[in-house]
Amino acid sequence: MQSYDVIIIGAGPAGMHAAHALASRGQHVALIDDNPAAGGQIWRGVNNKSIQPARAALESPHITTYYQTRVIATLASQQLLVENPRDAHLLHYRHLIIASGARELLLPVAGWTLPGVTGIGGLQALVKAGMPIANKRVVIAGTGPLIWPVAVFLRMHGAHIVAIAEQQSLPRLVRFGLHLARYPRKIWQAVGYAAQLIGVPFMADSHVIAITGTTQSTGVRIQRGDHQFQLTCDYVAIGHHLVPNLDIAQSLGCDTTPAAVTTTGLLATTIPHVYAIGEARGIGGLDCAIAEGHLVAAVICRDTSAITQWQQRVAHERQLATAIAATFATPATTPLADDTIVCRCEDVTHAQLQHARDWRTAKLQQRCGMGPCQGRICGAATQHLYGWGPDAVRPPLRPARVATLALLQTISTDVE
Amino acid sequence: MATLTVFINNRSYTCDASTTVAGAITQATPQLSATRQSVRDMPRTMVCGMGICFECRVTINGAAHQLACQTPVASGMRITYGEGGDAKL
Repeated sequence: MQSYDVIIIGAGPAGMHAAHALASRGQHVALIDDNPAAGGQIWRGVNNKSIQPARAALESPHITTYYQTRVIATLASQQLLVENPRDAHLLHYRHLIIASGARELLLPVAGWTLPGVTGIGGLQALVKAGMPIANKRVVIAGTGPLIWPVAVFLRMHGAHIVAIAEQQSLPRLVRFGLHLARYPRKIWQAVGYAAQLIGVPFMADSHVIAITGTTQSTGVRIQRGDHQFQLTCDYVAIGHHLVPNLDIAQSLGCDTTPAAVTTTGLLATTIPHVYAIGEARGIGGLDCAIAEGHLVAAVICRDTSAITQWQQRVAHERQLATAIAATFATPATTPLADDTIVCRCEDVTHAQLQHARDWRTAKLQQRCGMGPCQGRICGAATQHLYGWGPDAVRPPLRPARVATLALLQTISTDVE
Repeated sequence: MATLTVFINNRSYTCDASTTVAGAITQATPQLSATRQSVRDMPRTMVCGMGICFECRVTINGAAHQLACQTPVASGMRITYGEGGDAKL
């Protein structure tokens, strides 16, 4: 079993900066991510000035990277069971940092299971991975600040953006814009996005009520106020802002709310030696994640002057997180038809869930959330649609190989 | 740019060596189309691009239910889906 001073789960901006700051203070760090490379979902493969130094620093002999590696179980006595495509490991930590990031909230709507319908960040991730997008007609819909950079990204890669349909009203978006005034870098970013999207129709207060097509998406039906209209497109990128990935924190027994891991101002969770940073603390974006990466390293190494410095920075960035949540965190849901699929893995419809009392009965009676994604899509969706809370998180956190689970035998008395 | 050859449903394709299986599949087909059938036989393919939704699972070198979006391509890799490919799960 390998042992580390600090294990960081998640190699996005928060995790990378924590790793860099800890390694430069002499700590031996393991950085785990289920993706093939560091950078996080949004910034992977992007040459961003803010994160390049931290990415380069991952070459440090003090940092061991575990890519394509999923956490299968969190164990007592400060150990993790992890699995990659080749083998499995038990890793021991003195301190654990949860930098598990966020995923898109994908809400059911008629036709959302058709090939050609992706998340917003989802389409960006696929295009980064090599999916051709040139000359494809794309409608971007839903809500969230992610819409803008992704629209710019897709257009730069040759996509034809048919329209951006944002749920929020224009006054609400303007209010959010005013918050940005305190963040000069964000203002310039916003101006840059606007300049690069000249000519793209932008529609506020616009809700997707159906995605049309038979074997793949061919269009989208949108409601705006009292009238409806149809747009023709090849791809529909639709997402409803982000939700933090909380399963690892919950598996460890940390207190959480639906929006965040509960932490102190010094990033400590309710479990000793376990910290949470970045989107896991609530959706705050890149600069917030970077600041918390620095802060957690200072906290673990008891570097008091650095703690004071980064705490102020985190407080400033977290104010923006509050504005983001107030604007985008409670997306409207379109009334669903009976036959609309809610759980994509098990093809459970809205009608089938009408008699379920809660998430647990939906799982037991209808198999909602029991498929390969383990409720990662429909769990957050049913929380929004029906107000269901999450169930207890149990290992394995992801589908795992038998050989991986067999490793537990070596420490079977430790398994919770 | 370095390239390599993979086999998608037994046909060879040359793709960018830095892509994922999802990238290779989308380069080999002109439009995103089904890479699996759901339990009710509905067409499905990649959605989240981030290893969360499990919709992109295909068979890679004989191993079923591998995530196309999380798997880098390798020379000679055999990717199958649809008829004779991934079983329903």
